[in-house]
Amino acid sequence: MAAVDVTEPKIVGITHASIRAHHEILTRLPLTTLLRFCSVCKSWNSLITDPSFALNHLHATSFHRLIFTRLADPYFTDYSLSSAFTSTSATVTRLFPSAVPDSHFHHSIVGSWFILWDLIHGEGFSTFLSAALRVVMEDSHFTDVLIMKDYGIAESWTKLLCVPDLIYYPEFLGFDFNVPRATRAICISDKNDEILLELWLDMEQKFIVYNFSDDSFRPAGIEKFGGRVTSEPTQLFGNARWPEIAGRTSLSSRVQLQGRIWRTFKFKDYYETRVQLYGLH
Amino acid sequence: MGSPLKKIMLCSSEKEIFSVEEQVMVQHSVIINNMIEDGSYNYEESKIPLDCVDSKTLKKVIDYCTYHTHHHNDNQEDLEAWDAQFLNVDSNGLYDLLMAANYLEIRNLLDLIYRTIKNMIKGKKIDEIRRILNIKDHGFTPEEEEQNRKEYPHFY
Repeated sequence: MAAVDVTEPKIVGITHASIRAHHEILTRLPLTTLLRFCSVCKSWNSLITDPSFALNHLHATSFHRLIFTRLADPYFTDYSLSSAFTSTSATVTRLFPSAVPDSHFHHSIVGSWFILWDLIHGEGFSTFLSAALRVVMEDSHFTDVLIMKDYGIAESWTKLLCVPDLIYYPEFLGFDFNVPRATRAICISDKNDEILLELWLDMEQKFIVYNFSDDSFRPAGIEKFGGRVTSEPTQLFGNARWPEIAGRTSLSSRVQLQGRIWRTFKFKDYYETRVQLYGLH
Repeated sequence: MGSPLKKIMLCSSEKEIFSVEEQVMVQHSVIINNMIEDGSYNYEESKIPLDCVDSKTLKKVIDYCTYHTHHHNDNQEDLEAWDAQFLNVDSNGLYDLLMAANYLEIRNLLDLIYRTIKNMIKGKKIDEIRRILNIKDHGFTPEEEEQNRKEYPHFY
């Protein structure tokens, strides 16, 4: 604990009584600020880089409808806050198996996450995130979306909705369904009635919206994203504010390829835009 | 919940007694709410001793609770303006309020104070924060400090 003069002025003198206050105040700050605040004093440094603080911060500042998708992986993974502070390439920590208890169906994660934080580290860029939503494809005819109600608690997986396969809606897209395809959920609307899906059809990417209150599909208005330049697995690190997608008033999203390359989505009726640090306030 | 007409007594560190509408404190302070609910407060004799809260601070806390009890239907902007005015105190006053709100578990006041302090330090450079919060000894070794300054000169 740093020795802090608690006499004059005494605001935020670091005493036992105010450790909680520090915690509360720091929890409210965006990550970019916290990164800087690590160097204010040693006690803040220990507090900020403490994994339990990271988790609290995650809960307190998460914007619940940010997107993150990850290619199939049998584990949920997390980037630890402390590693994000100490290295430019955040260490991936495997958190817990993604298997839904008592489910014997074949499934894989194709879906998404609630929380994405972007951390500017000097000029570098790293991210860490937390899982809360995913899609399970049990067979080719429907896709289950499950939600993890308590972060990290495998037993809390709850089925949220079931998205029918587009094979039932050939008139909607009008392409040959015999081509290989994959679906990923990207995010769910604030009203919990629509889900944004990314569809890969024979290497062509499409975005569609499934409304599960009236069981209908519609185009998402997302035209394309920038050309691909890498043979490496592409991680789509997007974040978008869903209501804004719907209204197309403003929108942002990004693709991050192996750490540093930034891409932007292009959306119909809107111009290309760089992402804001959503979810940090 | 108690009757709105009842009064309870709060006693500051200077032993000054403040009589407050019970409802006002019950609504805001978790601690007082618990005391009333579990019957440990005796209306005839009890006064609640708040040894770590001085009169000036206690008066402000009561002002806050009273205002928010009677104006909770006001529009958000008015309330925020009132809150901003309320917290227009020096940093010592803010600290005292923080400690009092913490002790009495007045959650919305705590939250307001946390937000205020957050805004005081947000976006500030490290040297400024150390000055605002009066952090004299940051706990880093001179080498670590030098290293940090070299690595992140724009933070300072």
